[in-house]
Amino acid sequence: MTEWHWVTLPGLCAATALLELDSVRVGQWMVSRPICVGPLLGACLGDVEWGFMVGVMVEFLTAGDLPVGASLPGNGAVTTATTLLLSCSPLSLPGAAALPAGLLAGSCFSRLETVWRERLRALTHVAEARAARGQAVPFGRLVLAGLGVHACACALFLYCAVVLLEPALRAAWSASPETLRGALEASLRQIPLLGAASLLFALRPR
Amino acid sequence: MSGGPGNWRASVQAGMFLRSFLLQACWSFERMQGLGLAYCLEPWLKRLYGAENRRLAEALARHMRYFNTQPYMAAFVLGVVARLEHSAAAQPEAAAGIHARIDTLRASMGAALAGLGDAFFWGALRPACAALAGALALALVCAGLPVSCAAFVAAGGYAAAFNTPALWVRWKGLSLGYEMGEAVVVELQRWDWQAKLFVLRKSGFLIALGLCAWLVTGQGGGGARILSRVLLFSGCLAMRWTRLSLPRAYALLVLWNLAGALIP
Repeated sequence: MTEWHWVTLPGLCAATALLELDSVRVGQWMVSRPICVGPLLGACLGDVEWGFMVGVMVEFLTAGDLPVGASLPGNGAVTTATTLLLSCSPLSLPGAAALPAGLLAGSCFSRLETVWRERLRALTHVAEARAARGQAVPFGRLVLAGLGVHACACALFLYCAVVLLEPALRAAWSASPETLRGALEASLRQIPLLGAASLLFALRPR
Repeated sequence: MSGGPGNWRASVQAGMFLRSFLLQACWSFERMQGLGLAYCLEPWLKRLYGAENRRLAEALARHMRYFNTQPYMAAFVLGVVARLEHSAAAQPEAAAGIHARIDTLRASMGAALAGLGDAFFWGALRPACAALAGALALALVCAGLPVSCAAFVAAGGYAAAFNTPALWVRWKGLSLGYEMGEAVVVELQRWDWQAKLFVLRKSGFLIALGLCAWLVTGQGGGGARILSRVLLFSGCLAMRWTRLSLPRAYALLVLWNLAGALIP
């Protein structure tokens, strides 16, 4: 564990988690979309170009996902951030290994998110109990609690994902046969096509 | 402010507009945006009920019940509910009936506006903005701008193109909802969302089609390479058509390449 793991990585995870709040909890100004997160995180990590490439790819791949009601599609911000933190940092894993890990992390995060979405009903119960007693409802504290839980969980998830995945992926990458590595690299080159197909599908005439 | 009864001021609208950004801060499966709706209405309810803590608490408790809609379209519901709450506060004898009406409207308007807003903002505007940003970045890079500059211009353009109508709907929805009350539904029908949706989707589709054409043919290589990219693109399109999840689609792409490398 280096200074990167103790200082820079937690800082970047926290910053990404704050940006990610925009996806559901605050605003929905689209700053949490991969196309915005990618270049920003890329700039922090010193490679805007790769950050943008990943951001655009993930943006296109997730363009058709509908965040409707209780449905939770894979999280684009977490996918982009995990990919960039694994590949475009002192960890410098190959992009071909980092991108599938990012896709997996984005998908897992959405499944985990259901856990604290379920738990956050406690905030409504607190507010209801206060209102039933005729007391002032502490909305400010409740909102902060809702945002805090989400941001902390997101930052912790990102940190754990990067720290745990990095050695595993590095070992798997060096142990994997040349053919598999070649297939993963070819897939990385072809993923813009999958992204463009996803975008076209999302905008298809209905 | 014009129209609508009572002491609805720009400051009240601005407060509710700012709070509407936190509509989903306490989102939970049980009540969804219920707590957020009560939070957005709190300044207005405080203005209506003043120091009457009991009535204020009752009103807040009523709004904490289940509510869900598209977050930008919630502004219309907020405006209508604010107007009806004003009527209930002004006519205590008719309050029970108005409260029942509010409950019905919250549910019915919420569902109808969710369908409209999801199709417009998530289903059309967001992917169209993504296509536009991709095309903008490509055009800027082709024009000789460094990728790092093009990246930020494209990201900024994406955010601006999406947020301009989204913020306008959020602001206008509040004032229209309050001024017109339940008649806002008629006004919304006059906006002809379906035609706007059609134009947006068609424009986005054409831009996306251009991007796809560039990806398939614009990267050089002979006829065989272009044909292989066309085939691969068709395969990718088929994967999305069958609603394959992203990790699975990517795994299939890797398997395809693996098979290509292993099978002579």
